[in-house]
Amino acid sequence: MKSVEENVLNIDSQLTDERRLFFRDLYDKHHVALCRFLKKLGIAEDNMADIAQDVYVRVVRQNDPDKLADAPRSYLYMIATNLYRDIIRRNNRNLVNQHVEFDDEKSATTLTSPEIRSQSEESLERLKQAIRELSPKKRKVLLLQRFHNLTCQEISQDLGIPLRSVQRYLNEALAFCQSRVGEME
Amino acid sequence: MKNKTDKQFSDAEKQAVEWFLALQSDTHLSETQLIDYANWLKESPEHEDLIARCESSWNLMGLLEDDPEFSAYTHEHLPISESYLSSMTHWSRYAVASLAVLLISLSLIYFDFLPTDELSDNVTYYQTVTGQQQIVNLKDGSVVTLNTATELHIDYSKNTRHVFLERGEALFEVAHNPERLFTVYAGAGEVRALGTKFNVRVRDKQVIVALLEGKVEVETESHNKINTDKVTQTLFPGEQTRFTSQGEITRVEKIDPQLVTQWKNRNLSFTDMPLHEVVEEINRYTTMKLVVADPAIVNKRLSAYFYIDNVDSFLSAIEELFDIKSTQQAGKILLSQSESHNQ
Repeated sequence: MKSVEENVLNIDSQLTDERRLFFRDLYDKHHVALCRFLKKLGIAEDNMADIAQDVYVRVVRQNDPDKLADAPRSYLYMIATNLYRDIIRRNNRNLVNQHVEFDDEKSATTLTSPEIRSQSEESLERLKQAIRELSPKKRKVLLLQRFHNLTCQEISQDLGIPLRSVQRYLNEALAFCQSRVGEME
Repeated sequence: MKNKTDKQFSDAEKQAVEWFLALQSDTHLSETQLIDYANWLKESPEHEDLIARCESSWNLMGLLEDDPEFSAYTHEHLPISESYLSSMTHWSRYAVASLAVLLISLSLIYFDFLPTDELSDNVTYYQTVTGQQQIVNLKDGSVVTLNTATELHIDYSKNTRHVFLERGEALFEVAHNPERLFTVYAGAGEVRALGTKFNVRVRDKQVIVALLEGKVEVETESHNKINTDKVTQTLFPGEQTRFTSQGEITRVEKIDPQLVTQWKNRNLSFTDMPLHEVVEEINRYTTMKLVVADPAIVNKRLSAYFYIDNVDSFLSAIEELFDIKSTQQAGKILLSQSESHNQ
């Protein structure tokens, strides 16, 4: 079996020695905890090593030092959870299109093809219309959070609306938008 | 048209939205919460599907940030708030400094930064302050023009030409050299060229690449929460594309090359553009910031053409033509509807 360096750290040959040490250290400190977490997610022993490795690959790729410095373990868990979601999604798809061979790589590269592009333009139009139909309060809360990345607490203070209402507006606004965007024509 | 009221959302929909927003927020979820989420996902294929829908709406919504209609909604019914007043007093301290900076006009600095030994690696930093522009002539014959408030560093080696555009805007006129790819890194993406002329502008949440001559390839790595995809877009002359900080590339738009590079001549022109966007554009060049202090005129559309060092002429023109008066206050220029308009 290859070492962590060979498998993970070589994906980016431009990593400085300092970063390399940093990731090495991250691995040493959190690997056991990560594996325990993966086990709790229900990852089988056979796949454990591969999936743990994928987690590190993403960490190196995303190269987000702030998040790593802030709470490295939570960040690793978060990435692991997202990977887990990918697995679930792939399984779900395979259930639906058992005869259609699904090529993940292909779907990524055709993302800009005219067909898909016009599809997303249509979704964008639906989203715009949904936002226009929201009540001004819901709309404002939603967009403040999305555009300015304000927390519910901050929005509550800024607008003088109780925190619980802000959370409710946000939930309802997004529920409305996603239902509109996902609607079948 | 189906018009769902809140009561009509299914439990799964409500849960999906809650999970999605919780995962989206900066506060970390605990290990137990993440496990709960994972178990919830596993319960039914519908659950993952709903999360994907939330995510796609959320990502799409990010594209609207620069759309004046939607950014204006965040100002909707917003009185001139306390935070606004406190920021004014804060700025008044800079009033004197800003006048001084306004006097700095176009400075042309010709630089030969590569040492005689061209084989060695070399990183050079360039920076312009607000209102300043700078032309950098590179040893390989390429020319980079920095617009206002721009920061970039250039890293040339034997086989590569790398430019890291940290913020602001720059026009690249790349000398043809098939052996040495010229790559501009900006935001979540990169622009690759052999010999071309193109403009790259880094905004808060997006990067805009406009091609004037030749051909470039724009590639981003989109880090949405699901996975990392590489997306590539080739541009032809007269086209521009944008990509977000998440690496999503939007559709290709046609542009007028003249307009894209007019900043080089310190000209600004706007055609039928909402006032708040016009103001945002002008503020890139001046330290005495314009502020739209009157919600009634935020979306007023106007067309104008003027020299960036002469904001006064712009102000008197909009007073005359659009009934917008300007008053100077605490180091800012406040724009509001002039009284004559209401008579």
